[in-house]
Amino acid sequence: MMLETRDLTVKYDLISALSEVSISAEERTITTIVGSNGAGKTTLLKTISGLIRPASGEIRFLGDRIDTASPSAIVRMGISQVPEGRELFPRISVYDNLMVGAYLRRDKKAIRRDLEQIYQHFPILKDRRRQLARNLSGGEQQMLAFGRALMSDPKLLLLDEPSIGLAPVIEQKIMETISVLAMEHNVGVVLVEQNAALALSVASHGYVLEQGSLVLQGPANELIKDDNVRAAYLGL
Amino acid sequence: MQIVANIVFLSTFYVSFAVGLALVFGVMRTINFAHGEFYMLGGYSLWLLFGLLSGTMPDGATFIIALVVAAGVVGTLGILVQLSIFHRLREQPFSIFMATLGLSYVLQVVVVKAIGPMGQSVPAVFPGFVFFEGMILPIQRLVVFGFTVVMMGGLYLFLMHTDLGRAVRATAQNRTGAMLQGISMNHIALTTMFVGSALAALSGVLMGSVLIISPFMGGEALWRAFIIIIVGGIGSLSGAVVAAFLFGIIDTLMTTFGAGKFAPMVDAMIMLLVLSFLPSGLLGARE
Ligand SMILES: Nc1ncnc2c1ncn2[C@@H]1O[C@H](COP(=O)(O)OP(=O)(O)OP(=O)(O)O)[C@@H](O)[C@H]1O
Ligand SMILES: [Mg+2]
Repeated sequence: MMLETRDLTVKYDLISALSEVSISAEERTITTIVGSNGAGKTTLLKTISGLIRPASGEIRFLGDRIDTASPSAIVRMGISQVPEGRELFPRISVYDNLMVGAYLRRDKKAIRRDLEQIYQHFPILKDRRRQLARNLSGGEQQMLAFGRALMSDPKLLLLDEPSIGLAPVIEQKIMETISVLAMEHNVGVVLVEQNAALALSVASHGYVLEQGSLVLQGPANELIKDDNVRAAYLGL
Repeated sequence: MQIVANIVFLSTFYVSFAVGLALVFGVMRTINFAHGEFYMLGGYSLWLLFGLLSGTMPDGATFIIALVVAAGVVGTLGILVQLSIFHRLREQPFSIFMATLGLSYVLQVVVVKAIGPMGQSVPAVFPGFVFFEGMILPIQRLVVFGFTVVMMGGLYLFLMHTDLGRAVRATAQNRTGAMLQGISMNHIALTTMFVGSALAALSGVLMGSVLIISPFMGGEALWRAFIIIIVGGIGSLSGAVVAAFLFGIIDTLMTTFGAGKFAPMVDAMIMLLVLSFLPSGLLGARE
């Protein structure tokens, strides 16, 4: 198992945002966590990245406990996140944003190679590499956030609603890229989504999160047929 | 023409003093109220080293040594302030204000007790004048100007052309985003405080070679720097440079026409005027 959380409980002051959440994710697979507004999806990803400390429970990555590690150590171990709201650096160039993603790496040659690869996936980023990040459109910014996360050469990629606010074409493009990455580069993906239909269509395993607790889990192709899921998340 | 030279000299002083403060504030959103005293310590480094080394080596060498020593010592002091004040009191801006203000008084008192309240001066390292286009240019002033340009060039290269400098800029623009790239906030804070404090000290050595060095020289400079940073746009180094020249021009003109004592009041009024039309300053980030 690549990533595992066990009985993870996270609190904001006294209010629990996550209660005893246990999930696992494997390499070369897309694992999705679907849930509506305020279910605790972002909280889960922030906790895995070390931005929030859990009240109890553990997080393991490749066998090691990471729930007390610093965000920097967690990136170094190979976990990278495309956060909610993208969190780009607005007043530096597209190129600089990408290079900050490679901050912890010293292998100059491999960094250049990865940069070229990202430019191939998203040619628009190459065309706009000298522009400030804030001058990109929403879709381009999402691609940039995605490219920046890849520049750390991650083993595990955490994606927080990457499709939000995007046109369906771009949404599809992003999802395709995620699948390609997981398969071709041995990257594990944890995909958090409100858009359950989209997420379950690309993922192999899924969890349903409601008000901080897991209520359902299983292979994505089964969850998509589940009556409760269809009623609650797919509007069917 | 002389007035142009005076404007350039005053403006570059404002730049060299304010830029360290602007850097620290831009990256860490905290203000070191002892920044003025760090500048003052730069001045005293020059004075002390002159006392210690004069006669044993050329004055030019002493001047260079003073720059290096002051930057190293005061930069280290900045690191100590980061560890003992900013880090411990993070998210308590009022406590940070009190603690660094306290430190600024302590440093003043230490210098008053150890050296005395009287102003000191060092002999010109590079005496003489250049006459050019009707201007009288003291060579010492030209040297100070040259070093300030080099100092700003160094800061520019660091921020724009090194990985660490890029991380510093990224952190200033988005802390969460920076943390998610593996940038350690402690590391950036220590780097920024070292550089910002060293810049104050360098400014102090440079100005100490042309002005009177006194325990209280930092106080007034600090308030002027606040006005410059606010008008320039908080967090914007280029804004600080533009504002430094703006106030360099205004203050020089006022002094030249005998109204120098009103300069602080006029400057404050200009600040209010700029803020009422451009709330985020001349080049501040509008977000
Ligand atoms: N910084 C915070 N302080 C206090 N409560 C918070 C904080 N952040 C989130 N919460 C609360 O925790 C719960 C989970 O929030 P979270 O952002 O993790 O949900 P989410 O599933 O990501 O929602 P969305 O789909 O809207 O992004 C919500 O009730 C939210 O109001
Ligand atoms: Mg969220």
